[in-house]
This record gives sequence, structure tokens and C-alpha cells, in this order.
Amino acid sequence: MRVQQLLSDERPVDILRGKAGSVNNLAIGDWLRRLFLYVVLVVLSFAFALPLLWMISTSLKTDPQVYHIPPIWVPNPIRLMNYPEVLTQVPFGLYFLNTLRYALPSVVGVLLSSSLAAYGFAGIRWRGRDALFFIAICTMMVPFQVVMIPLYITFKHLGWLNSYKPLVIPAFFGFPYYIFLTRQFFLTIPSELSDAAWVDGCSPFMVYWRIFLPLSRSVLVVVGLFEFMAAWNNYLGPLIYLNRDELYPVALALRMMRSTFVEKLAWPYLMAASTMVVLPVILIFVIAQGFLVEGIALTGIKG
Amino acid sequence: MDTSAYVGLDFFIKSALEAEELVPCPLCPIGNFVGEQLTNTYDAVNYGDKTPEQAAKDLQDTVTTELRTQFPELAG
Amino acid sequence: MRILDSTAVKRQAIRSGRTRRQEIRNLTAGLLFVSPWLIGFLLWTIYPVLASFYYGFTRYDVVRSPYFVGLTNYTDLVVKDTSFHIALGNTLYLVIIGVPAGVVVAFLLASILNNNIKFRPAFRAMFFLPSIVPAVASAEVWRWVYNPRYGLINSIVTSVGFRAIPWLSSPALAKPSLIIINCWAQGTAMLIFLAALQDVPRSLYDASLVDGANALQRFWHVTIPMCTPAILFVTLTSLIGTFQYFTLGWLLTEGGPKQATEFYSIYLYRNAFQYFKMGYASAMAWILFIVIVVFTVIVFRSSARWVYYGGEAQ
Repeated sequence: MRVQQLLSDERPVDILRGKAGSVNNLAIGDWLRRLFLYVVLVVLSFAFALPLLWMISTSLKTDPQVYHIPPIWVPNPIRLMNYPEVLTQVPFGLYFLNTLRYALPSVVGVLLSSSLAAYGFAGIRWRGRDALFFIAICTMMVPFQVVMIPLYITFKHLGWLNSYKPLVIPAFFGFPYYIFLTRQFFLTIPSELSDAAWVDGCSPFMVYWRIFLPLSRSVLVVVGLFEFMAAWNNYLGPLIYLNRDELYPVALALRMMRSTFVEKLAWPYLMAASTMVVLPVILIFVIAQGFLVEGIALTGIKG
Repeated sequence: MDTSAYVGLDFFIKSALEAEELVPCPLCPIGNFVGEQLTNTYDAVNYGDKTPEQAAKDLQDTVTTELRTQFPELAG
Repeated sequence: MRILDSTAVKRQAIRSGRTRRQEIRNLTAGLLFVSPWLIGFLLWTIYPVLASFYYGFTRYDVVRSPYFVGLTNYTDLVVKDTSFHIALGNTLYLVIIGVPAGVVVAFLLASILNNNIKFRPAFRAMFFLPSIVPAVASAEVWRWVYNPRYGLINSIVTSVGFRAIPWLSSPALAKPSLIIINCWAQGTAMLIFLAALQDVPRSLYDASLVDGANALQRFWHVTIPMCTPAILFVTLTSLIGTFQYFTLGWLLTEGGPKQATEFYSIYLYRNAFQYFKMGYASAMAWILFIVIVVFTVIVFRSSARWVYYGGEAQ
């Protein structure tokens, strides 16, 4: 029997393991292990999703149901009216628009600046390029707190406080994290393409515009998505630069709602508002899951 | 309006109708600091770290020192 | 000898031909492309870093102009300010306990996902979703989950008969509660580990099987060592991020019961934007910078001993 197995195309390792040929043992042991794995996965997924499910469940409750012990999971009746009521009690649409008003320009800024700088660091060979890139990466180690105070004072003197300029304009100058991502991607574009273009007499800008940019759609999508989500979730930035209620983005507004919704239905309203804040990010994730995962993998592998 | 429910409510209702000027009291320049130290004082007493008298004395000392360092011209 | 000479001469000729025109052209082009970043770097990084270094030696509330006081800020912080000590201690607690906890959780999740399972994208999504939830929203949700009377956990605990657990209102439990939330949101680290795990060559696993390793030994002696570059990367970024931990601590407990969650960044924010002691806060920021650099260097130096880069024999 051994000889027969050896002559088959079983891997030697499987034979040594004794798995080949002992079909019954293999089947049950393997099946049990896989069942255990799935059980663990389902339990963990449920545990991780629990707070979010709880949030949605609470947002559909009426006031007494919220304080019920033991906790109610599916409220009966389901109070969908909570959502429109939150939208009328608090100018949520305004806060949404505010967030978009600084998130979208900063995405555009980041796309432009990162691709330009990354091309400079990856597509052209010049002296001091890698040293300068190393310095760029080191700036990621500087904590925001160190630059936060002088930036605040500078913006105060410039009169940029209480506007979205402090949040948008730095994006047009590049953030090292995105430059790093884009540069890693540009490094994978074969140099024969740009060399051929140079031989043909293209200026570096043409090479950038005509060759590198169209090829890097995926990494640009990743950078854009990351920046949008970072801008959507940003709390400390808007906290120190914005003081007027009408300018608040969604993050600051949610914090403010904590004190607005003090009467009955406070918790359901708060949870409904939280759900609405979370929803766009989840939608983006669902649509662009592949891109996001690939982008994060890019940072880890090459980093 | 029936003001007999609470003692002294009468005074406030009447003053709201009669008052003509609003004079805001001068802000304490280290107001936020005082607020935070007050929270710490409450915590210290509630969790049993200090006696109320000790906590109040510490609060007074801390706040006065802070005022003296930050705004020597006000501390007097 | 002569052949070598002529090739060497040719090489020199080519290089010097490039040096004159081509390299200068490349230099200008490169600098031009990098110039937005360079200008931004000077404006938004170099200038603020130098400015805050200067402010660290002054007394500056934004209304009056800076007033030079020498090292007073630093000495006050290190010697006299008990809140500073508490803040530093809290943040170190978070770093020393929270960062390893997060890395371990992310790695374990990635390992579980690394098996041959159906619906992997769905499970991966469930584990990743918490990390992209906006901090504000997750603060509200977890504040409700941790509620001492009606929260998710305590309502179950009390209905079974135990006493309610004061998650966020007890000085002892406040920081662990925040660490739990941090471990819940380890999605991005998990994805990095997943990519690294999938890069581990199968041949190593097979070789270890021939040597008679069971699953646990395979995990410890093959999987983990081959992933050490990713572990280093995640640890470093986690470290740098955790030292600046602000949002959840501020939103959930605002410094916490008896200053239990008064983290460095929160105390800095307080000094800068509530007490308007900008000089003092700048000194704090620079101390933070130095601490981060020291920790990063320590981790990086030690990495030479425990990180295996690809291609090295195990």
C-alpha cells in the first residue's frame, strides 16, 4: 500500500503525516476542526458587531424600552420615527454638508499633492531623493501636539480660524502617509515606460500626466478613500479650529447632541444620530472593500 | 402668577420685571483652571482621599498660586 | 589591464555625460515635483516644530505676547505638577498594556481568518468595521454599552444576579475599559497581519511538519517569526498613535474619575485651549516628542534581535 501511495501524486508530507489513505480519520478530524473554526468565527463576529447592533437596536426603541432589564433586542414596535425626528430637532443636514465641505476639497488636495510628490520620489532619479524621502517619513513620528499650538496661533493671526481653511489647505501640500503609499505603488511601475517616453522627448510632467496617473487609479482610489474617512472621523482638528455651531462637522455635532437630547427619548435619538454618522463610512466600506483592503496591505508589506 | 409656592420667588419675579441694566460680572481669567481643580476636589472628597476641609484648603492654595504666577498684577 | 582601463574610461565618459545635462535636468524636475510637499514641510512641519520649541521657554497666553521665562515650564512640569505626573503615568499605562494587547488581538484575529474558509470577506468585514466607525459615534455607543445601570453589559450582569460593574466611573476600571474599546477597533492592524500571514511560504510549514511539529509549535516557530516585520511596523505605528491618544478618552470620560483617564494629550489640550497656557503646553508637547522618539528608538534597536527579514533561513 505504501508503494502505491508513493507512486500516486500525493505529497510526501501528507504520506508522512499518515493522512493519505486514512480517509475516514482525515474526514472526521478535519471536519470537526473546520466546524470549530466556523463556530469561533461566528461567535467573534457577533461579539465585534454587538456594540453596533446594540446601537441600531436602541435607535429604534421608545423611551421605556431603553431602560428595560433584561435588555430588549428587537423593540416592538419598531420606532422608525426616531430618525426623522432627530433630523428635525437638530439641523443634521447642515452638519453633513459641513463635513463634506471640508472633506471633499481635502481629498482633492491629497490626491494632487501625493501623486505629484510620489512621482518626484519614485519616477525620476535625482541626487538626494531617497534622503529627502526618509526625512519625509520621519515627519510621521512628530506628534500632532507639537505642531498643533503654533499652527493654531498662525491660523489665528491669519484669520483662518472658524473656517475650513486650516483643515483643507495643508492637504494640498501633502501628507507623508499618502505620499508613502503612492510612492510605493509608483515604484512598481516599470521604468521602461518612462524611459521610452523620455527618449521620445516627453517632459517629466507629460510622463507623470500621461503614463503614471492613468495607471495608478487603484492607489489613488485608496488614498482618496482613506483621506475621506479620516476627514469624516477627524475630531481634534475641527475641535480646535472651529468655534461656531453652524460650522460644526458631524463629529463635533454628535458630541454637541449629547447635551441637546436631554429629555425623553434622549438615548434613542443619540443612537439614531450615531447610526446616521456611521452609515456613510460603512457604505463606502461596503462599496470599496477590495480597494481598502489592498491599500492597507500595501502599507504593511512594503513598510 | 402664583408666587406663594416658593419662599423668595416673589423677589426674583419682581426684579425681572423691574430691572433695567445687565452688568456681567468680571470673568475670572483662570476660570477654566478653577473649574478643573474644583472637579478634582469633588473627586478627592467623594473617593475619600481627603477630608472636605483639607480639600478646600488645597483648592484655595492651588488656585491662588496659579493666579499669582499667571497674572501677578491681579493677585495683589 | 588595458581592457579594464578602457572600460573604466568609458564608464567615466558615460557618467560625466549624464552628470552635466541629464542629472541637472533630473534634479530640477524632481525638486519641482516634490516642491509642494517641500513647501508644506517647511510651513506646516519645520516652522511649527521650531516655534513650539521656542514657545516652550515662554509664558504665552494668546492675548499677550510671549514672555521669556527660560526653563521654568520644564522644571514646573517635571517637579511640581502632579497632574503632569498622573497624565504621563496614564499614557504609559495605555502604551505598555494597550499596545501589546492590541497587537496580540489583531494578530490572533488575522490568524483565525488566515484559514481556508468560505465567506472570508464577510468575516473580515465584521472584524474591520469597528475600526472605521467614527470615534465620536463609537464613544456614544460604548458609553451606552458601559452604562452602569442600563448598559448592554450591566443589564445582563444584573439580571443574572451579580452587582453592576462600574466600567467608566471607577478609577480602576476606566483605563481597561478604554483598552477594550481599542482592541475592538484593531481592524487595520488585522488586515496588515493578514497580508503578512499570507506571505509566509508554504515550504516552511511543510518542512516543519516533516520535523513533526504540531499546530501550536508551527504557529510559534514558523508563523510568528516570519511575520515579525509586520509586527514591528504595527507596534511602531501603534506606539506613536497611542502616545497621542485623545479622542475616546476625552469623549467618554473627559479626564475620568479622579483623573484616571487624564491622558497626556488631554492634559496638553487642557493647558493649551482651556487654561491658555500655550508655553506650558508647548513644553509638554516637546517632552512628548522626546518620549516618542526614545521609545521608537528602543523598539527599533531591539528589533535587530527579534525581526527576521524575508530570505533569512529560519
